[in-house]
Amino acid sequence: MNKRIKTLADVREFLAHKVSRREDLLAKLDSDREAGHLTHFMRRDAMALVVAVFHADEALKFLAHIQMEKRPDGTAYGDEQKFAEVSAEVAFYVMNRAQSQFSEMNRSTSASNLATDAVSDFYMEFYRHLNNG
Amino acid sequence: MFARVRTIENLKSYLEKSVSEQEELLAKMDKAREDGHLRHFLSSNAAYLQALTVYAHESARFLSFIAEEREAEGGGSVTDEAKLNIVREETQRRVINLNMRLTSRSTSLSANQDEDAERAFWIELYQALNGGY
Repeated sequence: MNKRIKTLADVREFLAHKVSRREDLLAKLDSDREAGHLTHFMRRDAMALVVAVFHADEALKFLAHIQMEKRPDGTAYGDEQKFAEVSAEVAFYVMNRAQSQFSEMNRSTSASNLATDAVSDFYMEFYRHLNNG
Repeated sequence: MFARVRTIENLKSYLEKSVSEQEELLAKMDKAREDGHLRHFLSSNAAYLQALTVYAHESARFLSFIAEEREAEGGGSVTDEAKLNIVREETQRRVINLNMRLTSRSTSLSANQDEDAERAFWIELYQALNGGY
């Protein structure tokens, strides 16, 4: 059962997990490559690595944001405000994405589709955890 | 105009190209990791890297076969012409076998992409050996 994200600490835990998933897969890539088993890694984990890299990248943006102690204008930035803003930003992305699903006209023919899908997947998963668990 | 692989030297240079391309791409990936741009690298090169890994793996296997000193059945060592024929036969067998595997797709994206890259490798090699590439 997925855990619902209710506090900023939960947000941090969710995001940190995304970053550690990428680190684990990169470590696996390095050790398989060194052992001459890159093909085995690719056969099992090529897509998982791409997705993990994109998820971690998005997670790092949020982590950097919630690490701020003050707003750029110098005013206080509390945990509750951070949580509310993160939730709002995730919801905003998901709603935009839901609208754009009616038009797939701009789909690229390259691997960049994978990037778009991985980023969407990150936000959908984050949204689900923030709302339903 | 593409050249047809007619000699063992042609074959070696054809195969070495895949190996060196993979090395170059891996070096680019390492640089992207160092610079913190792995996301950008993977958005345009993820599928290409996986395909090249398969190509390089199969190519390296043939290259070591070509470089190996082998004893012929009637004594002496296997000639370059005989080695080229062995590669031709294996390539033809692989291309025919690939056509029988169409219905057994995996549920894993990585595994399917790997299989597609393998299929492309054998078809390209067959074309190079028979019709030019």
